[in-house]
Parts: sequence; structure tokens; C-alpha cells
Amino acid sequence: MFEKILALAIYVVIVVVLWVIVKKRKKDTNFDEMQEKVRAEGYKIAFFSVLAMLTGIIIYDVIAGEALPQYVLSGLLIVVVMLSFTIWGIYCIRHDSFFGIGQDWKTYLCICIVVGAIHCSSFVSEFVRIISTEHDEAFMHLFFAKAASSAAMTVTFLSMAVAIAIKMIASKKESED
Amino acid sequence: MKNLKLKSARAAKDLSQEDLARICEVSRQTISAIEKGDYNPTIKLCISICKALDKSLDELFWED
Repeated sequence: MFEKILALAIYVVIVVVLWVIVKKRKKDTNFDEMQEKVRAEGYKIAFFSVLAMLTGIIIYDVIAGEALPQYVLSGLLIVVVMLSFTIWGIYCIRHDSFFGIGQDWKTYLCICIVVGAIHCSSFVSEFVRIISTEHDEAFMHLFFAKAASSAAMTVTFLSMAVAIAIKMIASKKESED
Repeated sequence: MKNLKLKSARAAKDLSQEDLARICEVSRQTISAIEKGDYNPTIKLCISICKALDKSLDELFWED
């Protein structure tokens, strides 16, 4: 019981911290009208992507005959969340609306590469551990969601790093005339 | 539809897209999208661009 209350408290703290960061970022970051419009379209696309993926999971769960194991469901939900963020992020990057006016792309590129590499190494180590040892359901509960989370974060950050790099090269080549 | 009037007015003032974007407080990509005809700016941005280039709304944004 105590662990559940603690987990809920940690979740509330994370939400509050994220809210404060977003509020501060909103003050410091300026997006012009075209960027706001593109970001809104990106949110729409990501929202419907989440709906489509969750519908797929629900349909599979209903017709499969037996319920998906809890750890598989946890992993899938993590993947859905990170994929929707990736879709939104890449759409905004492609349409010049991920970065506010005056923001430095290079810093974000470096951050995405470093964080992606860290999560990639974490995923590889979790994956090796999963396939190389005999495991019970408790083990899978613990490590499958962690492995799915690392994999999803790797895909998110590395794909955004690639999108940023491509955009930077395209912007340099783009001629005004 | 491309906005060639905007592009030539900007060139006449010897301003780059970056310069005009800075004056109008938008991104360079927004100015580029307006000139290419990929984005229709709000009236507020149109007025801001006209003030920056010393032109009227008709001169820059009315269709011929």
C-alpha cells in the first residue's frame, strides 16, 4: 500500500515539475503564427495516431482470446506514448516549427544524440539480460517495460536527431532566390 | 501562389529574409513560406510586413 502511495506521489511531483518547465518555456520561447499553426496540426496528427494505436491494441486484446500479459501491455503503452511524441516532433521539425525564434538547433541535436545513445546502450543491456537468462513472470514484469521504455526513447531521440540534421542541411542549401 | 511583389519589395530595400523576419518578429521560414505562397499570413503580420517595407497592403498582397 505504501509503495502505491509513493508511486502516486512521485507521479504527481513529475507532473508538477513538467508543468512548471512548460510554463517557463512558454515565457522564454517565442513561436510565430505559422509555427503555432503547424504545431497545432502536429498535435492533431499525434492525437489521432495515439487513437489508432490504442484501438489496435484494444482490438487485438479482444480478439486474441486471452488477455495480454500486464508487462506486455505496459511496454506497448510506453511505445504508444513515445511514438506519438516522435510523430509530433518530426512533423514540427520538418515544417520549421519545433524550435522557437532564435533557438539553437545544434544544442538540441547534441542532446538528442547523447540521450539517444544512452537509451540505446540501456536497451541493449536490458535486451541481452532478457534473452540470456532464465526468467519468471516477476522478472519480465520488471524488465520488459524498462526495455520497451529504453527502446522507445532510443527511437524517439535518434529519429529526432536525424530529422534535425536533415533539416539543418536542407536549410543551409536552401537559397532565397 | 507565389508572392513576387513581396520578394521584389524586400529586394528593393536590400533586406534578406532573415532581416525582414527579425523586423517583423517572425522566423525566416515564415517569410520564405509567404513568398513561396505556402502560407497565408494573418492581417496583423501583413501590416507588419507592409510597415517594414514601406508599402501598402494592396501593393504587396492584392492579387493582380
